[in-house]
Amino acid sequence: MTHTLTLTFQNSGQKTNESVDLNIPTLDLSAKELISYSVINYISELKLKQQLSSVECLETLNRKFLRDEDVRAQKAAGKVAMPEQKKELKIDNNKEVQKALKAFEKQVYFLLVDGKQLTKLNDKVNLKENSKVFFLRMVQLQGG
Amino acid sequence: MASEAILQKLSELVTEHFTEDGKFISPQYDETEKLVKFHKVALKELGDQYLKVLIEGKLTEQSFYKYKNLHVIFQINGGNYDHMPENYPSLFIELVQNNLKRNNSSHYSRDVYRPLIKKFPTEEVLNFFDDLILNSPPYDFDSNESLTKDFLFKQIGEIAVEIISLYSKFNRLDFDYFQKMIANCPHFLSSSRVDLNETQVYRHKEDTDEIYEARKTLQSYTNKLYRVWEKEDFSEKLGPAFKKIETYWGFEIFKNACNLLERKGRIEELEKDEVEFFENMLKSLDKPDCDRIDELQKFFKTLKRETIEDITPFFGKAFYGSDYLDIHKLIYPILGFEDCEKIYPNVINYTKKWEDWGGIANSTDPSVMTLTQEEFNLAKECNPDHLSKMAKLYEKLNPSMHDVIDLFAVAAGAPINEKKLKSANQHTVRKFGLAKLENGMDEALERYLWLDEFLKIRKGKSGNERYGNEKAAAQACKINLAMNLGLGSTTRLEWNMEARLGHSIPKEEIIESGNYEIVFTTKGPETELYAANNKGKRLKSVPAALKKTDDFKRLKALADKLRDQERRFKISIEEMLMSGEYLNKEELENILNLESAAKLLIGLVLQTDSGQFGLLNQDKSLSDDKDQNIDYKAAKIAHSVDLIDTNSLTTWQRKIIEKEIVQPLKQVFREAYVLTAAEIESKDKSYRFSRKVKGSVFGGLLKTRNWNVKSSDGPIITKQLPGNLWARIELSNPGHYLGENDSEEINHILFCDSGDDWSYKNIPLEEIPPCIFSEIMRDCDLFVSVAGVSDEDWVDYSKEAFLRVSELVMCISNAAGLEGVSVDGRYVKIKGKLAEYRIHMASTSIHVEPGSYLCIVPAKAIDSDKIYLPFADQNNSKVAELISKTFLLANDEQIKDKNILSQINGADQ
Repeated sequence: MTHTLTLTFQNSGQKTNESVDLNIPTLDLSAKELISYSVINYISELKLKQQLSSVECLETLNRKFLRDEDVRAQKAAGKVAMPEQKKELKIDNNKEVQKALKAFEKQVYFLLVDGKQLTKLNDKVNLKENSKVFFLRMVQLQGG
Repeated sequence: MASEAILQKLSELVTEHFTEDGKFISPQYDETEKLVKFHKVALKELGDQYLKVLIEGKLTEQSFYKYKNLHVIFQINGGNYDHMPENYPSLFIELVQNNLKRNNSSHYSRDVYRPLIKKFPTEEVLNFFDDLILNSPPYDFDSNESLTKDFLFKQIGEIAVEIISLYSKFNRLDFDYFQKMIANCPHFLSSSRVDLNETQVYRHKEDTDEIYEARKTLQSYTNKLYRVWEKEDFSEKLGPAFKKIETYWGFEIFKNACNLLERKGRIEELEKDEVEFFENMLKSLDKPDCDRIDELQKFFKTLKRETIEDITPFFGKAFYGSDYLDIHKLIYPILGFEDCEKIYPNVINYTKKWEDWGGIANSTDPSVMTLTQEEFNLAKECNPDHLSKMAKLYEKLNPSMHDVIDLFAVAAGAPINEKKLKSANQHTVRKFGLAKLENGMDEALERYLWLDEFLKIRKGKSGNERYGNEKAAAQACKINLAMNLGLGSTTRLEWNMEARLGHSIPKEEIIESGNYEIVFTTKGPETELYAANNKGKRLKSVPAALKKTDDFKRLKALADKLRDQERRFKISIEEMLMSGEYLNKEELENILNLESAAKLLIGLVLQTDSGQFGLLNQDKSLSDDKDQNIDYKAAKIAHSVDLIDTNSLTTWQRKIIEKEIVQPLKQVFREAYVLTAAEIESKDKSYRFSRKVKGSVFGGLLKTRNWNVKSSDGPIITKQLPGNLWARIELSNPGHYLGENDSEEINHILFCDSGDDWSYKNIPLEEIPPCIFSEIMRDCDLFVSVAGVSDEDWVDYSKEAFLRVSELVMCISNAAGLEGVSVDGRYVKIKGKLAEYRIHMASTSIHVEPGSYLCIVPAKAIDSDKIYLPFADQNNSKVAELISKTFLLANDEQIKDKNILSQINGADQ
């Protein structure tokens, strides 16, 4: 059985709150597994988003001209132009998982689950449907 | 110590402290400080004997030459003379006299003299100056280039007030004596500005009572002296002395100069030094005098016309570059040149500009001595005869201004000097384009052909450099000719002229030559010239033997000319797209006769003067979106912005696709940029492309899009646009030039009324023609998308952004169980175990409450290697820094960094 855990993270920029759905086989995980699943889900979400926008883009490109509604919508944003087709994202999941695990060990980021900080890859965690998971990038500081 | 031993010792000290060329070893800080140090060492080691050695000038043979002798004594004491022995004045005087004999001038600066009087106001010192002033030249000034009487007296002149105070102290000055002094040393007056209207004497902040009194004495004697002089003839007796004074000031001086000139006759009859003298006098009007315009006007009316003509050129010389332009308004009407007033600001502007560039003669810059369309039209409103006469006034005394006015005179219709044209005088060639066209286009065509001929002849006759200048002159002539015809640009001139010439260029020409064929074709989008074998197969390169044939040479010249034309026409069409310039039907049809222009126009959508859009077809007709022919009087190249404005973009994009037209330039699919709500709100600045860009790449791109980059205090990035408009890209904290920093940050883009470095007025974005706005934004979009450096940090924080960050910090603090963390306005507040802190959310700077700054910085930049995880900070490194600092300070009892701890503890105390 697959559990879907929605990780909500607040976007610090101008956009609205975003979330990543985390598909995991079990709620009992090690830190290593949690990181690995998070990376894979994050990447697939990213690819999906890009695909969606490129489908829209392809449609326009195939049609070869902008529709009136496209012009109206683009005009509000200040630029009217034919869309550019972006290159497909080529990301190697395994490589990225390894990179993220290594970074965790080097404390490039903290992993916080329900208020508890996981520090080792084999730390166990018991997730719930409303668990709060935070990946916090850390900056090494020193007195100036 | 024996004198030789002293010298030996000093020599050792010098070797130890100075480099061979007399500079201090490691002089990166304050040299005076080092000198003091040296002086102290020398004094300690050698006592007063050291001073004696210095004063006797015995060190001149040593490597100690730069700071030799007395200057050192002054320098090392920081000017206070505290360590000087009582007999210093005698020694000083002895030294000066020695050095004058030795022709050694380097240290007689007023900075040495002034403190001497201040510290030793003795009669002995007074006698020294008195002797210098009244009895010079006792020394042979002329034998040494570096020491002239002028030099020494200038220095004395600078401290005239101090010397006067010394005279007063010993009651040795009266007006008669003062006159004698001035006769020998006129420089004595140079430190006082002679203002005959001013009765009050300004008291300087540092003036003692004695000095202030001396200042008043100097002013009153100077005024008195002037009254004596003005009755006499300057060129005799006291005149030469008076001419030495560099600064005159005030209306009275000016008036007297004019009157004097009137008495003396015409300026051309004066000697050179007298002319200089008058020049100084006539420059004496100060800005406040310009406010006394009525008085001036009355005064000018009392003068003879000849005198006014004589003084006119001095105004140009004295006042351009400043804002005293009003004087000419008083003078021109008297001379009957009112109609020429309107070009005066342009004349001043060009004179200054061309002089800044090192004169206008023989420039390689084709824009020199050319007029804009507006200026040409302005000149046309002036009487050519008046302009010529006016130019003549400036001829001798202000040749640059003469040349500029003469240029306007030719534009107004004054004849040019045919003889000079024949002798290839470059000024005349440049002006030739502006000369009156009696027979319109036909004559223009003759002139156009004459230029070709001119260059052909000059190529054989002139050397490389001269030919380069002549080419520029010919190009300038073309620019002027285009203005003369009202065509606005040389490209349009060329279109018109070439089309009129009707050179029929074959679409294709194939010539057999031995075993090969030379193929010339203009059928494709570009002109091509290549070789083929006898079966018609194109060869990769042209065989060397073929290149030598006359046929190939002829076709190559033709192909080169066409390619060059195509390139220039393309730029011109893009400019027209931006400017929205209309071409009348006749001109357009004429241009379409020109193959290389037609190629770039057919397939474009035009907008007629009645607002209709139409496609320019192969047969030169214009048809609407329903393929119906449209008649029109004039048309312009439509911009995608125009199509959007009229909701017809979709229609025309569709039409172009349906008809399978490949447009010669990106037109209906051209990216269009329209004002956003934020831009309307910010009024005159667009922050749309506020982003970091790589300096070197950015610089290259600017060039390709014809932006102009100047390095002043920082790079000034401008682009000239149609209609006296300029666009500017402003950077945040730029380096001195582009590329100095790895990356530059574009702050905003603005539009203004001038390309001047500093003086320009912003123009609201809503007033910028939409096509121009769009094109500039299109340039900038290119810059940031190609040269952009990825940087996800925010440029500035909006209210909303602060809110989001504060929510994020609180959410994380709660989740992590951090105690004592709260948010107050723009700060994160933390109650730690050691102290209380506040962190600014945007800058992440920290203060320990109540106020001392706590410096904590990232030990290294955040690892830029991308990790695919949904980080809470959304890859914003400033937020990551804020979170990290919050974690650190919330657990301050665990801090081990001594630097941080000492700061916290220090703040505590």
